[in-house]
Amino acid sequence: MTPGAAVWQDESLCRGGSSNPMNEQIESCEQSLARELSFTRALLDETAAVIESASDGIARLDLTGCYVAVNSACATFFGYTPDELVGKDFRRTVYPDDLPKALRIYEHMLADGKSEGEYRGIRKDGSTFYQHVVLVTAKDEFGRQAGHHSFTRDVTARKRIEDTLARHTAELARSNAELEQFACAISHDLRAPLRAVRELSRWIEEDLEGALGEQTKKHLELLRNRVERMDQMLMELLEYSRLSHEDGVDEPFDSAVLLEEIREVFERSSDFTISVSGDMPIVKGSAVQLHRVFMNLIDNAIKHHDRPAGSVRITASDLGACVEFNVIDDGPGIDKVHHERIFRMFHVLHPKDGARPGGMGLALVKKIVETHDGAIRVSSGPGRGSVFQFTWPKRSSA
Amino acid sequence: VSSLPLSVLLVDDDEVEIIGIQRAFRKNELPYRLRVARDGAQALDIVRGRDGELRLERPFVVLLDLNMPRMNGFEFLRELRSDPVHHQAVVFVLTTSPAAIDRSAAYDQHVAGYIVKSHSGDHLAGVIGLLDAYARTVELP
Repeated sequence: MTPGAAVWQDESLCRGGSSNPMNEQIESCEQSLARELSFTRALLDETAAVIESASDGIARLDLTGCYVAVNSACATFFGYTPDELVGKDFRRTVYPDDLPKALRIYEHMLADGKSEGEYRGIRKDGSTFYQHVVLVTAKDEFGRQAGHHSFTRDVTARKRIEDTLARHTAELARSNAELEQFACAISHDLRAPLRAVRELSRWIEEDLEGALGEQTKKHLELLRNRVERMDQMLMELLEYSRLSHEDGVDEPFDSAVLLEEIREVFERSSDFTISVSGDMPIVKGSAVQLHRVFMNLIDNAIKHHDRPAGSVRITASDLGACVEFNVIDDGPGIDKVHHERIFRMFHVLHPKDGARPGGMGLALVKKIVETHDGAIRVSSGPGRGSVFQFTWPKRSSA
Repeated sequence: VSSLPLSVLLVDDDEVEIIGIQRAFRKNELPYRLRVARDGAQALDIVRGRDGELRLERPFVVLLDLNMPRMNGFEFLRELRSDPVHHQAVVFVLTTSPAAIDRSAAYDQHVAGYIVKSHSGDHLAGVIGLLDAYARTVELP
């Protein structure tokens, strides 16, 4: 019932309560009816104007699926005048390939009263466009099904963007896969001849045992040393390139347990003290990769230390959205000019022979932290030592 | 346990690899007869004693590289497993490929073991030791 009708009823009730003569009452009734009629007309006109000026295509179809009434937007979508479109079967405005889809949506509406979906429409000139349609069952005054209403929106522009996006995503995935394959082939194919060089140098040494001068022995050792270093670089390159393709495990885990394992490894194999101070948080992301981050940072601190023994301390603090870990060493510290550079690939600050294979360690750390939406930076403590600070996702507090 | 000397057929296209195995055999003073094929096709000829090759004497085990020209390790395995006479042959894969897909495909062809060539110095000695223990413990077809 429209609000206008309700108002009229209220007025008529008021008047019904007064004691006018009968003809006056009839007159009054006629007047009220006329008012009601003009009000209803105005309302219908307004509704028609709203429908007509809507940017969505709005149409009424009969039980056979033919257009009975359409607004301008609807006719324009299909490239017809409203008069041309009325009387047409809606199936003839569907791009033939998408007809099964359109019919499914239609049948769904017949069964449930309402349905929606997307399929291509075909215009009068044969061109196509993507449309989003909502279908609603229409009822007659006795509540019987009398066809349906359709609300159409042209989504060609959005569809085009989606298609482009999907194409770019596929392209990106393809080029990533190619890159990984390339790195894999490179590292595998280059490591094989390297292995042969190492074997051959070893056999030369074996076969000439006793006949080799000190200098030759030294040269052979240097040769093998360089081979080791190149092998290490290839392995790290491979690991680096594979990183983003590993399946991210998102189970929460206790960083204290992980750090205890790492502490044991280093204390067994070096004269460095690894200490973990304070409570370590429960975090998420890849445990294997966080393990790698700590291993590389601690290994880095030990390798670059200027004394045979020292200490590395690990702390953590809760930053709300994530946690921040600090790896603090008591080594010589890193000059500020190098703070950016050390995270680049194959960058070695002090290339001492044999002491620094690789040079990917910190680049790998940076990539792992960044794929976990974190950041890493280094600062030098006053006097001695460096602090590596990085953020890591914490377990969501759900 | 068989008293016959074991034959080992090494299938590998890398000369350095072949020398490495030969040296390891010599170093461990194993009385095995080592035969070498440079690809799968030659290996099949040796197993079957065809195309001018002397037939490989039983008992034997095959040490198989995967990546080879002409006929690779997987193609060799497929041929071997459908051979009416030699389909039961014991094959160890010795490869540089650590890929899970290769390992799985090899075990699908019933290899006795999938060994990834290690980059450490005395890895081959370990492989030879395994082969020796295997041959002395296991009854070969």
